[in-house]
Amino acid sequence: MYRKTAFALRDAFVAGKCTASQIAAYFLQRIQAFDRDLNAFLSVVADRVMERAEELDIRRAQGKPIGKLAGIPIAIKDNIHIKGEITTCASRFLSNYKAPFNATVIKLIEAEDGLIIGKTNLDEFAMGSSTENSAFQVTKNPWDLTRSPGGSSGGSAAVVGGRLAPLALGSDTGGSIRQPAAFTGTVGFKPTYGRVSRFGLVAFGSSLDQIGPFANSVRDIAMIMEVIGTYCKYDSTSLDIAPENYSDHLSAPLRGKRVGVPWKCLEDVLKGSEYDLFHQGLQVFKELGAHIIDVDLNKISYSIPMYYILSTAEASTNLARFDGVRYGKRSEDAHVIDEVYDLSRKEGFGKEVQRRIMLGTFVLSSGYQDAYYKKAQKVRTMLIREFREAFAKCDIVAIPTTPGSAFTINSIPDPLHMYFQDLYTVCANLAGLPAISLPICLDTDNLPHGIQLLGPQLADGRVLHFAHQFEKARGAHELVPPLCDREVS
Amino acid sequence: MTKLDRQTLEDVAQLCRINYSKQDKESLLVDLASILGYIKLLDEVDTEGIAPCDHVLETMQNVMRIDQVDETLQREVFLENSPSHVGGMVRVPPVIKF
Repeated sequence: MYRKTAFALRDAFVAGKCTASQIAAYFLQRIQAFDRDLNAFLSVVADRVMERAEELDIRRAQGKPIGKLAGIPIAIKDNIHIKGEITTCASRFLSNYKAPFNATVIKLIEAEDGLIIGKTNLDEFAMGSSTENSAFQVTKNPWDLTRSPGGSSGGSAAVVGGRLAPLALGSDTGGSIRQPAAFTGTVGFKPTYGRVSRFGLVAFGSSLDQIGPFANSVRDIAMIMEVIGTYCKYDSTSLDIAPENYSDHLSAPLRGKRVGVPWKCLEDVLKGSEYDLFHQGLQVFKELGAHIIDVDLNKISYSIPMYYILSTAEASTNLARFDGVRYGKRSEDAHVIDEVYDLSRKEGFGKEVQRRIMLGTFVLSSGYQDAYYKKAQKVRTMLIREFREAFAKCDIVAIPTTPGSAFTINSIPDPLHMYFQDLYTVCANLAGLPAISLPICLDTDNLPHGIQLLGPQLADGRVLHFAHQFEKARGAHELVPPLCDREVS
Repeated sequence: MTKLDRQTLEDVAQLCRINYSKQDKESLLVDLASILGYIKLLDEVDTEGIAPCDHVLETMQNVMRIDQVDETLQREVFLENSPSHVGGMVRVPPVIKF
């Protein structure tokens, strides 16, 4: 059953070949068997999922209408609120925080009978590219337990990669869905900014954040996007446009379509096996009849400086609410109000979070704001323009997802070196574009590699279409990590 | 762009409202020097006459709604997460030191 796509699972449930309770129990068993090695889950809501599965089975037996995600277990990154459950953001600051409301995506998923199975590990407050910054545990890559699954949505990526659940939600501010997808051989999608509601997502960089899905097939991504990709009145940046049908627009051939590649900004960085693998990916498009053309996206080379100014600036503001007053950690040593703020934040936040708050505060501070923050915002305008001009010449842009395959845990202690993991992914967040990472193939170390496709703003359907055609031709989504490639009795 | 000196770090640390230790500050001075050194790359870009990006999607407008009470967070639910509360209010240590 673990090899089935979410789409096939739902079909099997609807056809009566298995019950929702059987599906839920099956994946709970897999979690029990494999998660002690992977450490992907921070909490598993076994009672909740079984209760809802049983209720769904009754409804199905009574012939009542059942939802688009019926019977599908779904894991949720632990920075998204589920009412009554703990949301930790993998931080000591929120280790006991009980979410007082449901995120919009949770409401939407449960309205379509999706079975939420647990909360997954992340880098603290979504800051990181390895899931090593979690205050609680380090998640391992199901393809090699000595390696990182990527981050910050490493938990969700490991769950879907290891087939502990067919679907998961993550969040992507600078590549936090796509990079872990590439590292775990899964499909990870970041929608156009504003396509999916951020209400109930703990904010990191409000102009960059988007919730998005992980799956083992593009069709599954399309299926869940049709549920969560809709207007939300509680999110003032939510796009006021109708939800789209993606599933019916995946099959048209790509003959004559144009795939843009920004060769100039790749030439210095893309070397050796990464270069070969990227070319292998492009070859698939050529064989499908698409044309590879050169596009000018030179501002991508400035993505990292832009991102680490803008995202940390926004984060310093967003994390100011964690003050030890109304919720979260309050230091026991705080005897006056200033100590409530200063000591609670010192004790509650990890090193990377403290570093980014410092950086973000600096770039916004008086005397430096023009040189840093405003400068970055201007270059951002130029990047958005460059993409618009590029998309006048091509239908989709293809670039690698990551500069390399999954690195060994603890091998990148230098923060700046870690930030380079985001080299190819942050431009999509800076420009608000829909972007997907999908597996190309395994390398000689038996590790997955991803290719990334970006579309113009609002062209989520187009990205999914190209991705689906690539996946059909390539077939890499059939890969399962050997560790998890067995039934659990 | 300017370099980050010790005094500037101290001033910014105050604004962060995090009780960074001496060790933290030494370590941050090194890390941030390296990061800011890299960020200097942006100086290469001529941004004369370019407006800062205030919204990633040009079509987005500021949103208002009618001032009407909708769903409200119940007090008891809110207080469940508070570190200390009394009489339906969040309790904090003294704001003014005597």
